[in-house]
Amino acid sequence: MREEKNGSEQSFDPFESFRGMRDAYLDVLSKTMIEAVNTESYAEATGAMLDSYLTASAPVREALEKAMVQTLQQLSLPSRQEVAALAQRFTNLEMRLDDMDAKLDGIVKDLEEDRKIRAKHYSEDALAVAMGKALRDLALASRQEVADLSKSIKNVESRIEKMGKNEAAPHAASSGPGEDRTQSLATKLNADRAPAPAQPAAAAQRSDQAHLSPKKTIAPIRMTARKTSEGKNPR
Amino acid sequence: MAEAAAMPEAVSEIEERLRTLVKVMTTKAAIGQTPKELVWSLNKAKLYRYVATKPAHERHPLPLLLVFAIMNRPSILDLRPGHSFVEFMLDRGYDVYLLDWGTPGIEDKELRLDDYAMDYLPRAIRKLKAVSGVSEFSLLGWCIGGILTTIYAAMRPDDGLRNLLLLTAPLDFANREGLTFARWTDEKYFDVDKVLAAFGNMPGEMIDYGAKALKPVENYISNYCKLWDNLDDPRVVESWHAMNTWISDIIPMAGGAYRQLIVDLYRNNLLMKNEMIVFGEKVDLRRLRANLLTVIAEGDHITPPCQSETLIAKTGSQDSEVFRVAGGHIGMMAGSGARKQAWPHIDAWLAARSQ
Repeated sequence: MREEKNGSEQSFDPFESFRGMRDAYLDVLSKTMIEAVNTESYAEATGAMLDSYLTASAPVREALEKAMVQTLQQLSLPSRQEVAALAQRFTNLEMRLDDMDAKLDGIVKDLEEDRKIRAKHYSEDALAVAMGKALRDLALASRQEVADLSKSIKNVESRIEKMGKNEAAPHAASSGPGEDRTQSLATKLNADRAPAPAQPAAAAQRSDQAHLSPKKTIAPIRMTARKTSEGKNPR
Repeated sequence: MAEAAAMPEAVSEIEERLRTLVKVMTTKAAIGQTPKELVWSLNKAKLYRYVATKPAHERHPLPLLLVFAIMNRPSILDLRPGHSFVEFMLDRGYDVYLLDWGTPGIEDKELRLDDYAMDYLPRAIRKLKAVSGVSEFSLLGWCIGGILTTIYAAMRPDDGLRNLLLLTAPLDFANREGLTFARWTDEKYFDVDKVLAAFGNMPGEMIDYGAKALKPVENYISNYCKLWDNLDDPRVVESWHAMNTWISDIIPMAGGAYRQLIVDLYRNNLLMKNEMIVFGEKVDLRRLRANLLTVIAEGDHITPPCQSETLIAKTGSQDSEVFRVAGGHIGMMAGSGARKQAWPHIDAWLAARSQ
């Protein structure tokens, strides 16, 4: 008898009926509330509440903001507005970076399309050979230009050196007895026309590095030119 | 004796329930867990690409970009394993991207719908195209994200958008009697400029209150009763916990965008009248030519069906469909029936147009 009673007690949930009543009540309440919030009077009431809150809190909010700004200024700290302005500048920078990123993506895309077009006409190997040849030609051309330039600098330097020697010679000759000025000029002329003699190693090195130190090269040229002018260049 | 033995059992049961309740109410569930990589970011916006679960040759060639609302986290699209729309679409062979707008700060209070739809979104799409190596794509917009994608689709019809999917998108505000929000935000009662002057951005708490106050008893009472009744059912508890984590993670809405939403849309319905001005140009819905699927939740109290079903007649799309599902604003995509109703239809519609 007791066991039967216990069994029936276990299956019986006293809250079940309560839940049913609760749910029924909530359903009714829900419908009522949905209708209530969907009325003009509710909209008016909530609007008035919000408005009065904003009106009442505005002076406090403004005072707090002013006090905060002053405090931050005294502490040499940036205000909220300043931080916000900085953040906006960061965003502008980000946008510019994004613009550049877009351009880069466009370039990469163009290159990719170009590569595809070329690949249609050349196999990968042929393309690589063609590109290698183009690069080699470019390198050879550059090397030739450098060599020509180097040769020109050497010629100029050797001529400057010779002219310097020839300038010194007349002074020495004029101081010596029996020296003819006409002969001296002819010697100078011949020396100018003669092919450049082999340079010493140090001079050659200097001429190779001439392009690295333009001041050192330019100064003697100016000086020599002035001297030549004063000394009445035979040309 | 038996009654005395039953008492501690009942007490321990209640204790266990209370422990579960406290845990659910005070902790956050792990949501948005599907692996993804960041491919682009600008200000607070981030573009993610989900790690594909299918090999490249089994995937659809067109990537799918998910654009969520600007006042909620997008993790509702990837709630939890086995109940994730993102996971579902990845398994169906889509290359899925997500545009997360992030949380606007006070420095973003001037951001408008213009900026979201025609500055940030096109930039994210450009990056999507560069990363995917494709020129065409599909867009899915949810709620306010639906407004943004619609504006984009109408203003950039030749930008490669092939398919546009709109989920619970509030676009038509003509039926003011059917819109509780429209009544609350009427200029007679609601001074939007005063609110934004006070807060800068629209506070998330106020948006959250607005959404919950539409059905106050369900949101503030019945929801918790349901949890209490099912505290011994781990499946219900887990689901409730995940949903509550998402709902309580509220974010503000950029002030400029909120002002436009209220003034241009709720009060003047400019978008549907083809009179909305974005960056100085009128948004003409007739220029929207992408294939269009509008998904409507019959029980949606936040975006009632009347706000979404009229769009199709206004666009220039030659391939459009309205699909109605049971459920509410969130339940339509995150509820227990979503996997059986909404998701398969979206997949079927999109798969046929993603080749």
